[in-house]
Parts: sequence; C-alpha cells; structure tokens
Amino acid sequence: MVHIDNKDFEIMIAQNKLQILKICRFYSYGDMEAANDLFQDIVLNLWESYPRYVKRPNCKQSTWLYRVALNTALMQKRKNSRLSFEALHKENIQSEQYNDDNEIIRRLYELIDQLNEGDKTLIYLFLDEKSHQDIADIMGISVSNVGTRIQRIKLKLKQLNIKSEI
Amino acid sequence: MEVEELKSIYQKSNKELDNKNIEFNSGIIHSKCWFLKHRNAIEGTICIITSIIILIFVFGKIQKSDIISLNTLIVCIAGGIIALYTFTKGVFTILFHFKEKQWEYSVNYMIHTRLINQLYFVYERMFWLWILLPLVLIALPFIAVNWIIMPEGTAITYCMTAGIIYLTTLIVLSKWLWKKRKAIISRIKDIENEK
Repeated sequence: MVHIDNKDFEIMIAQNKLQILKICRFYSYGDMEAANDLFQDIVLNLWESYPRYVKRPNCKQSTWLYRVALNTALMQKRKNSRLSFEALHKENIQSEQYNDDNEIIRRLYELIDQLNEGDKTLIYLFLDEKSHQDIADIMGISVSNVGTRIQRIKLKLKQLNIKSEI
Repeated sequence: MEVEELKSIYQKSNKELDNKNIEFNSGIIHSKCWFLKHRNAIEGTICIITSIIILIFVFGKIQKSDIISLNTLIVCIAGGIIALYTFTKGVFTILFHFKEKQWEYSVNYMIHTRLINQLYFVYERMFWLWILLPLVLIALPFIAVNWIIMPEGTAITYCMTAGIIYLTTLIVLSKWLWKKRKAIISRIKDIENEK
C-alpha cells in the first residue's frame, strides 16, 4: 500500500495550477463557470490516479498530469457548447484589452470545435508549445506521427476557415 | 494568419488566467457520492443479477410444464435472448468501469477505448432493432392472450400496425446505425495505424 501525502499532492497541484486551468479554459471554450467544474473534476481524478503515479518512478510528472487532465476533459460531456461560445463572446466585449486578439481566439475555438477529439487534443498541445516528444508521450503515438498529424490539422483548419468564410 | 502568430495570441490570451481565483474544493474528495463514482459497476452488477433472475424464471417455466406449448416456447426463447443480452451488457459495463478509471493512460488509448465503447453501443442498438424488438412484438400477443380476452380481428390489426411501424423504424434506423458503425470503425482503424 502506497502512502499518499496530502501535502505533496497539494504542492504539486499549486505548482501546476496554470497548466490545468489552461486545459479547462480550452475545453470549456472560455466559459469560466464550466472551466471551474472541469478543474474540480481534473483535480479529483489526479487525486484518484496519484497512488498509481507514485508507484511508477519512471513516469514524468508533466506527462502524467497532462494525460489525466486531457482524458478528463475529453470524457466530460460538453453541454450547451453554443452557450459557451456566447460566454466567450461576452467576455471579449467586456475586456477592453486584446479585443481583436480575443476575436481571433474565439474564431480559433470555433474552428477547433469542428475537429475530432484526437486532433483537438493534439492542436491544444501544439498551441501550448509542447515539444514533439512530449506530445508523443502524452498522446501515445510516435514522434514522426506528431509532425505529420500537426501538418494535416493545420491544413484542415485552413480549409474549415475558408469554408466558413464562404 | 500564420500559425506562429496564432500561437503567440493564444499564449497571450492565457495570461489573464493568472488572476482567476479558482481553487480546488478538497471537500469533493470525501463528498463525491460512492454510488456516483461506481455507477457503471453498479449498473453492470444489476444487469448480471437481472439476467440470472430471468434465466431462473425461464427454466422454472420449462420445468413446470410437461408439454411445452407454443406460448411457453416463444416466451422462453424471448426470455433466454433477453437474459443473454442483459448478461453481456452487464459484463461489458463492468469492464468499461475498470478501463474508464485509468486516467493516466495515453490520450489515444483512451479515445480508442471510448470508440470501442461507442461501437459496442451501436451493436447493442442493432441487436435491439433486429432481434429484441421483433421478438418482443411477436411474443407480446402470446403473453397478452393469457391475461386479456382478445376481440376478433385484433390480431390482424395488431400485426398490420406493428408491422408497418417496425418496418419504417427498421429502414430509417438501420441506415443511420450502419453509417455510424462505419464511421467509428474507420476512426478506430486510423488510431490503430497511428501507433
């Protein structure tokens, strides 16, 4: 039986809070209320998975954390996605800073929403500036495949953008 | 817009997250309902218990009657198939419960597991549509005859109405399910090729 130290876990969560929040925001399409719910679910699953992580000293912490967080985000049933887009739009109007950028981000979210789960996760990791090796570890695919898939997704996003503009 | 530019805008948009005051509510760890956490395992166990009860009922019915009538035979076949279906569903639900909890598996593996699960649901619906539903429609009048006195002509009206409704449903849903099945299988194959 592995002893779980609450303190260690809390420190680990505090250190990686921003990473988890970024995932929550991305998968909640900017709706901070939904992001908060997802944050609670992710930390709960991290807590449940923590004893298995402690047992495996070779496992990289960031890989484990990303896997649990992304799997939780993918598993959660996204309700009222349209409403979330509205929330994001509202947020854009309210914030005076980065107004044009926010519009681009909103557009980006709308396009990404049309991708399948795997591509969505891959593009998230790419936007989050993860290395190809890290993406391969988190996704469970080969490094060469990461590059190919990113190129394919970029092309798909371009086509979707053109389609929606027409 | 270039991808690198998009990346930097995305990174900039995340800066405001530093100010968001979201904290983990540690009470959730203890308060999350046990039943909710093990919902799939409970559902699976209930399915297995139900299938055993149905089988006991079916075998009891066969043992009680010396001569097996057409009524008993149809009820027993329908009961047997429903029991088999419920048992399989129970086993799969319990297996899914254990796989679902492995959050630290790679994302691709989890997506693969989810797709297999979705495929299983498609096959389950097909089984309902092609086998269970017609069985229920056939067995229903034979069961009802034991309890209700049927006026003349009811059988023909029932057969015609049930037949038309079933055939329409069969055509519409079969096409949709087949398309869905094909889409899921192609995605599963894509994931398997990526490994």
